[in-house]
Amino acid sequence: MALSCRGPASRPTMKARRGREAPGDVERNMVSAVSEGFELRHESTPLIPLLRQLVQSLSLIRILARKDFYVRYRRASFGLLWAIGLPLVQATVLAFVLSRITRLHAPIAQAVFIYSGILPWNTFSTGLQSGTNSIVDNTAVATRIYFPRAVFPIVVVLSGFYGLIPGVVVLVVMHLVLGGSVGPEIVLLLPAIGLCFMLTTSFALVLSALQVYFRDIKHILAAITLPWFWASGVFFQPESLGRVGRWFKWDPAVGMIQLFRAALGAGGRDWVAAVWIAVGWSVGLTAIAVLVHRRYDRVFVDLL
Amino acid sequence: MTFALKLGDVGKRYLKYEDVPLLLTRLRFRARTNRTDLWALKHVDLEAAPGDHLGVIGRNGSGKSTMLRILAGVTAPTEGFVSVKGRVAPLISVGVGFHPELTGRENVYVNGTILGLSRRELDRRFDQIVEFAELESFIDTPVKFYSSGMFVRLGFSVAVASRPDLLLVDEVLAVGDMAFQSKCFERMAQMKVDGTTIVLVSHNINAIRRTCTQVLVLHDGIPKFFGPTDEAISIYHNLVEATGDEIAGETADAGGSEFLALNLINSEGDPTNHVRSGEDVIFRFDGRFSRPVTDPDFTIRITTETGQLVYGTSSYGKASGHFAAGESMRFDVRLNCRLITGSYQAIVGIRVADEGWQAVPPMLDFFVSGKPLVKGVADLDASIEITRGVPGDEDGQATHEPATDEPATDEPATD
Repeated sequence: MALSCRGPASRPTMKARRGREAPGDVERNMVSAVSEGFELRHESTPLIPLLRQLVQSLSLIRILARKDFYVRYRRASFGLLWAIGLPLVQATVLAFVLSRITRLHAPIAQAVFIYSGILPWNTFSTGLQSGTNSIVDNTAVATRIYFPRAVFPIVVVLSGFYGLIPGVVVLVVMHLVLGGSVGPEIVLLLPAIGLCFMLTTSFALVLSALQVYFRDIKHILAAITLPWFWASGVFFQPESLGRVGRWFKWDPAVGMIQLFRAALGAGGRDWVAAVWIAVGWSVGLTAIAVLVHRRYDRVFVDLL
Repeated sequence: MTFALKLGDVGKRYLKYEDVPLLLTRLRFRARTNRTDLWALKHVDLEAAPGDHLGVIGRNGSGKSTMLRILAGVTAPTEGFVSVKGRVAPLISVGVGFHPELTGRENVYVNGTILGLSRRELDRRFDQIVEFAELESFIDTPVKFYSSGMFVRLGFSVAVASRPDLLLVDEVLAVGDMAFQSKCFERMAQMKVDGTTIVLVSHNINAIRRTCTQVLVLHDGIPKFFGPTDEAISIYHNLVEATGDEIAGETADAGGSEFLALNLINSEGDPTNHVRSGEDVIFRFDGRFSRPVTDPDFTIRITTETGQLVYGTSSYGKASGHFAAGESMRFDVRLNCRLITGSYQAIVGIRVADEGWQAVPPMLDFFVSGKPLVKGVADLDASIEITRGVPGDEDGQATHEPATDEPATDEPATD
């Protein structure tokens, strides 16, 4: 993490990123959302300027996401290891417990099977939870300086992906170590990460806006997260449930998880349909998010 | 004429808190909405040219913060339009966007990015930022260990380093120490030359007088006056005195006592909100007990507008006697008002038996106009005497000729 980039960094973990900023990158980001002034006549924001400002806020999103991720693990001795280690521990425990109770119809090693589900699920559900509260949590900044409010949920979702990426590497290694083989379908990991990001972001964009107006959303979400976890296909392939299984593919989390598994050659029969359904969810929610943010972007603050 | 910011007939309506829809009321089939409009601002017209320094003054709740939000583009007006040209940097409240776990250095980068600076610009201006904030030796310390003064210094430093076209300044500057404050004012004067428009929102009349050429007086969201600073300040003072009486009509219950009035009486015996430094004044609290009490204690606290306690005392240990239910009482605090120029708040409290202190709302806002050259919080009324030669120090005695032609001055030649 290079939140700072000159002089002695206070901790060794902070050095990494200096070299990765291409010079052109910086120049391109010179113009930021707040640099050009504004003119407001209505409470709603026209779509094009809103999107333009969002694009101009990309460097802001990046630095805030890095800060968010970094702050989360700063005071922990093992730092980043927690981001990878926690889902690993969860997967191991669940694989162990479940293998005692029932037989999973897993085409690959059970631990790998569960880990490949838990990894995207954790990113998704934590992204949803922190994303939902992101605008409300940032009241102090939001009431004082303007940049598109969509930045807040995007930032927290993105910061979760700093943990997902190394987790995916661990997943592949684990798969190979436990006797799995890797074919050309491994490239599906890229769209899998992309889908996970799209889905989480679109949910977070809508929920964060709703949370400003209806403070119940956070609690409702917390209540449904656990049942959703068990229904999300972390432990099963939908088709292994017989006729009931058909309904599960409408759950966007199932499509997302199945795409990760498809990359390891364990997608099952119906994964393509499930993936398209998840894509549909993302597109639909993004459309709703655009409408909501277009209308309320400049007045969220009034209720903070 | 080119303008830096322009507000045309701006109005801002808020929903009152109790009218904010809850999920259930929204879902209910026949949702009854008894909306009460709360206009925080109404009919505000304002225009400023690049380099103008505007002040906005008004009592609490007069729409100042809404004004800032609109100028920052954080909220959109309900009616009218607002147009701001160029980069806006808000300098509102202490260390907004600073994360306590991050070091000063990291926060400079995060905060600078929020203010619209690129990484390269920040690299280039970093030393300058740290130097101006005088935080060279603390820059790698997490800001949670910073004092509030250090917070403000860093915040101001980053904000001005972003070379904004419009700088919005809230009460923050009152927090830093005097030396830093002067430095900030100097910097703002320099920014004026560079064409930066500054809007200072404050009830620190001194800061307004020192910085602004034009001042907008807001009262209940409506602009009462927009024009030259001195005129605006006197209008503001009149408004405050007028509304001070309204407040006295309210009642509040605390510790079984009922609030009747809290007044500041000047040396001529008249109630006022504006006293001179060194004047003998009385803070007079009138109240009534709703139940019988024995030996109630009274306390008074005087704070600066930033909440710093200047003075507090109580009648603890003084037998005040027995009060029957419904009996009224008067609590007079006489003191010599040795405060420097500024606005202050007085708040009184009552303690009945061992029930703990109860603050009696509302507070009294008052202003003190002090002597020039006095700094700090209290005017200790020093007299300065300068004589030549120190007894016993033979070498230091002027021997050639007695230097009597230069009169000794009793004012230090600083600032």
